[in-house]
Amino acid sequence: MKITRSLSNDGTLCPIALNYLGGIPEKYVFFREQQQRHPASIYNLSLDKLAKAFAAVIQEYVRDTTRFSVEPNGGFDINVLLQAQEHLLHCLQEHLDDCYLILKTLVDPAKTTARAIAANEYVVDSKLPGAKSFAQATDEYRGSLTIVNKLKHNQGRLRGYGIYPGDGIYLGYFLEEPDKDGVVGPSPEIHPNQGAFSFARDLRWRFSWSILGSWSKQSSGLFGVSIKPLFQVVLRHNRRPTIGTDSSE
Amino acid sequence: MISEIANAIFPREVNAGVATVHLTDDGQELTMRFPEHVQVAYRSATVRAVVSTVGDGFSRQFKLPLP
Repeated sequence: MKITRSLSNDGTLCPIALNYLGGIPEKYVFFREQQQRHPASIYNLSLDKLAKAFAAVIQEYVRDTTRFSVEPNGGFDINVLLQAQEHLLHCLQEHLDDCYLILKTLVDPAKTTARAIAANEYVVDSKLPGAKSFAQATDEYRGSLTIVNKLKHNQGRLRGYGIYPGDGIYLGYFLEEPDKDGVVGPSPEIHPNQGAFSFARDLRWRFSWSILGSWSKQSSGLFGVSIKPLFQVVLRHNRRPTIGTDSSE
Repeated sequence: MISEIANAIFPREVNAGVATVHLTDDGQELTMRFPEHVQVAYRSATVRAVVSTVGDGFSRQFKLPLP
């Protein structure tokens, strides 16, 4: 799959979802009633935080790649990079939560009996059209963040890893936790092939995924190219005119 | 910045596919392709690995990731 965003055609390099969210007339959303920001603002702030988190990791990654270009005599410490990566993983989890907040702004609180505090439960309880398909479409994305649950709830720890294949260091990381025999090492669940994650693959993969929600062409997630069908369903359900959006993708 | 990261991926990841991100020099256009299969030429037939970890005061056995 190939996705292209250009300033001349799209007005922004951000995901197309931002165009759609920015195009919804305020009277069709209920962000004030829900005491939330406008959905475009929620998405904008979320992307901004993600962008800064990605930038912080890349900055440290480039620095450490240079710092350890030659095999170290002893110390191999990339803790600052690992802390930045852990922050990024938490931000990616928050991004999913933010997307549920966006869906929440599409629910008229006067017409729902839902009282759940968590936005993901609230939109499902409210039977918001598209909420279930969104949850299904983001299953893979959520699954890729199992590592965050391990960090938060199972004392998982990120550890540094690097290989020297002949032209400098290739940096990576792994989630460390005990296996069934009590031996501490790469998490069997997160690293089933016993390999670590290279930053070179992980960063680009997570960057793409955070924008699109899934590599699956069938994705109907909030992120990226398929946000339009979701909003059309919602707006049809509300018997309101469809929003004007570009259809270049 | 993300478009400037080299294909410094680990041997075990080669078959898993990667995403490529390209930003034009003038910053006007961003293109992503995925999943893409890349060929990575490792200059050396063998690799040496380094790892960082922190002891927990009790565990005596550790496993290391494989390249």
